[in-house]
Amino acid sequence: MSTTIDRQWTTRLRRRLVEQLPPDKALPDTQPSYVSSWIYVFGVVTLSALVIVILTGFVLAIRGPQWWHQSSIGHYVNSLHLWSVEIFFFAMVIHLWGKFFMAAWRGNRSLTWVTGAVTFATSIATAFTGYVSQTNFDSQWISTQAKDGINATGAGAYFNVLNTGQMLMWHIVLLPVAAVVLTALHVVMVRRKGVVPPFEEVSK
Amino acid sequence: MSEILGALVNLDHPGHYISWGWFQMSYGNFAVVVTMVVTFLVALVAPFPGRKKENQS
Amino acid sequence: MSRRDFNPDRDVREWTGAQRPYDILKEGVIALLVVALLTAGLALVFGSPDEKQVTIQQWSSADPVDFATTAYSELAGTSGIAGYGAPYNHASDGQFLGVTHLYLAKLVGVHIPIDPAKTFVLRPLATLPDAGTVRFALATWKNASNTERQSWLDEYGKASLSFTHGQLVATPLSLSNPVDVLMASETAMARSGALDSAMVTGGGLYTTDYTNVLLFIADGGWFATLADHQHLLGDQWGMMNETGSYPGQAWLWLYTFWYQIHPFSTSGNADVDAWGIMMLLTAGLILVPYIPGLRSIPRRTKLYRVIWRDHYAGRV
Repeated sequence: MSTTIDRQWTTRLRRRLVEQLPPDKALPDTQPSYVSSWIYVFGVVTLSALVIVILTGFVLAIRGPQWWHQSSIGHYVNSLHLWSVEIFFFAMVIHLWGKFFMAAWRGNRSLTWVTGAVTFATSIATAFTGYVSQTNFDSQWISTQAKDGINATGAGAYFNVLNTGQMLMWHIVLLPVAAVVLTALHVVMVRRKGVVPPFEEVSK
Repeated sequence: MSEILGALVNLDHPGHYISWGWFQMSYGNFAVVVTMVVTFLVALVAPFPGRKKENQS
Repeated sequence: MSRRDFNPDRDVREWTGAQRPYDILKEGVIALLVVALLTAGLALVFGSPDEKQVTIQQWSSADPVDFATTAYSELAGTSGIAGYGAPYNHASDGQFLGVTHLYLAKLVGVHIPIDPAKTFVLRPLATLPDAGTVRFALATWKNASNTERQSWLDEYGKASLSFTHGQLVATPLSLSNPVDVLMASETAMARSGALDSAMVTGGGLYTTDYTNVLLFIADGGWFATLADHQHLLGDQWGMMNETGSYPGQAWLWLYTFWYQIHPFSTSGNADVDAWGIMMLLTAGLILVPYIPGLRSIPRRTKLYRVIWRDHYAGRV
C-alpha cells in the first residue's frame, strides 16, 4: 500500500535515480577481467582534457578576451587552452576508433555511442566558435571564410560568425553547457551499462 | 618571466607542407596525425598489467 | 514480447565472469594529472599563435589601389557582398543544395541587411567633419539620377588608379565626376584610421559585432594574399591549417576534402553541397549502431582480437 511519502515527487525521483544508477555502479570498485588494454584509457584521458579545457577557459574569462594579447602570462594560459583542446581531440578520436572496433554499441549500448558521436560534433562546433573569438588575424580569416558555408545552409541569418560577441557567448556559455551535459549523459550510460563484453569466439 | 613563458620552440614562421598531387598537409598536422595513429597502434599492442602469471590457472 | 534473433553486431550476452579490483577515482586523478602536465609542457614548448589582426588602415596603407578598387566595387554594386544574396541582400538566389534545387539561404531570407554603397562608402564618408568637398560630392551623388551615377561609375571603372604623393589618382577622368572625390576621400579616411571606427560602430561607441568591417576587408584582394602566405586558402586545404607552423585542425580533413575534388572544386554550390555531404556523413557516424553493414565492420575486420587477446587466451 503506497503511502503519502511513497507518492511524493522527491521520493519517486530519488528511487528512480538510485534504481537507474545505484552507487556501486556509479562508483564501482571492480571491473570485468576483459578490460585489459591500454585502449581503454582514452575515454578518461578525453574527460580529463575536457576538464583542463574548461579550467583554462575559466582563467581566460577572469581577465577577459583581450588579456592574452597583452600579457605573457595571459598568452601562456591561452597556450594551455589550445594544447588541452589538441589533447582533447587527439584522445577523443582514438577513443572513437577503439570503441568502433570494439562495436561498443552492442547490448543496448546504442545511446552511449550516439551521445558520444553527438558530443564529438558539438566539440567541433565549440572549437570553431573559439577560433572565431580570438580577435586576431586567424579569427578574421576563419570567420570571413566560414560565413560562406554557414550562410549557404540558411543558418547564417541567425548564426553570424562575424558577430564576435555572439560567437564568444556561444563559445563560453551555450556550447560548453551542451558539451558538458552530453558528456555527463555519456559517462552515466557507460556506468549504467558497463563496458561492452568481447565478441564471443568459438574456442578451438 | 616572459622569456620562460614564451615558446621554447618558435612556430611563428611560415609552415612547411607535404604535397602529393592535389593533396597538401602541413608538417604540424602531419606530425599530429602520425602521432595519433602510432599512439592507437601502441595502445592496442602494448602489454597491460594485471595478467595472470604463467603458472596460475 | 517478440524475440529477436541474436545479432552479434547488435547484441551481446552480458558478462557474468571474473571481475578484478578497479579504483575509478585513482584512475581519474592520475589521468587528470598526466593531461595537466602534458598540457603545461606542450604549452611551454610550443606556445600558441597570435597573428595580429589587420585593419582597414593597414590595408589602405599597404595597398591603396586594391583598397580603392574594392571601395569602388561596393559603390558600383559589383563587389562580392553586393552580389551575394541572402542573408545580406536580394542580389542573387545564392546556392542550391545538390539535386533538390532548394535555395536554403534564400528561403530563410535577408536578416543581416547590407546595402554596400551606403554601408561601406556613403555613410562613413558622411561622418567626416568639415570636409566641404566631400559633402558636395555626397550631395551631388545623392541628387543624381541612376543614369548619371552609372555613367560616373563607368568612367571611373575604366580609369587607371595609382597612389602618388599620398593621394589616390584616377586618370583619365572628367573633373565633374564625384566618384573621384568619394574614392580619394575614402582612401584618405581609411589611411587615417577613422574608417575602421566609422564602419564598425556606425558612429557609435560600443559594439561587439564586426560584420561590416570584416565583410569589407574580405571583399578586397589584399586580405586573401595574406591568407595565401599562411596557406589558409580553400585550395590549399586551408581549413585544416593554422597560421605559422602550428598544427591546425586536422579533424576538418574530410570537410575541406570535398572542395579539392570535382565537381565541387569548380561548382558555385560547393559550400552548401559540402555541408550537405558532411551532415549526411555525420548522421551516419552518429547512427552507426543502427546501420547494418557499417556496424558489422568491427566483427569482420577482427581488430578486436588484438584488444581482447588476453581475455581470449585466458590470461585474465
